[in-house]
Amino acid sequence: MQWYKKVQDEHAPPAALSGAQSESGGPIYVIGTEKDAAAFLELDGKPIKHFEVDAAGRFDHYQGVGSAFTPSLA
Amino acid sequence: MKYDPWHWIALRGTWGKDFRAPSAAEGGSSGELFGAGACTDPTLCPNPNAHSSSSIVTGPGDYSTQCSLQMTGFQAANPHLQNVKLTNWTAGLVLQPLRDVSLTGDYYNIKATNDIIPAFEAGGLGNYSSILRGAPIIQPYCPATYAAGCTSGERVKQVTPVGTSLALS
Repeated sequence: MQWYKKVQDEHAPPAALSGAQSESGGPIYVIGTEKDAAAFLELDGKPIKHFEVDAAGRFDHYQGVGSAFTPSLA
Repeated sequence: MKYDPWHWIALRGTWGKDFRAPSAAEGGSSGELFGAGACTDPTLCPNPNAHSSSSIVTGPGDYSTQCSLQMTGFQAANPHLQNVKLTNWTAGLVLQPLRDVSLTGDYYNIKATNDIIPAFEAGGLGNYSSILRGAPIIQPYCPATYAAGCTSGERVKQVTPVGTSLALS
């Protein structure tokens, strides 16, 4: 189980708003919140001789974006 | 999964799905400035390539100063973005010819859908990006009657029908 929250509240510097400064290579302001709740299950075993399998599944819910189920087999 | 019928050889493979949610910078509230390079105003310079062999000739219907503009773009976040979805699989072989030597080879295949890319990169000027315009100003214009284009002396100064560009958004 996992729970994650990230809050960003980076406002633009006055120099960028007035046009005196123009940055490149990144946002000049970011305001937002990311919230993710997830559950993960993994099963690993040898059902027959010489054969090993690992099956896993993860369910994520991102607030405001939606949900995703991501299975994997290894 | 892994299948090793004998101790010196093994076949292995994986399959999985993955996703990436839009970050706050991509789907929240954010702004980024970028250099869009040389752009042509499609309204004030509709025939930029009509006579591009000589720089002194302007195409008919063009405001010559609006044909090659070094524009600054503004990329805002998009709250309607969805998750980036990835599907990957691998297949490989492991050989162990000697006790202390092993050789491996794996094939990786990764496919992404709904990838998040800048709007300007996706469509250039016109598809997903538009020009922010200022006030109309007087600029040299090549009348449409000059079908072969205008030299500098044939251009007439007149007020642009729409404002000239300030930036892309």
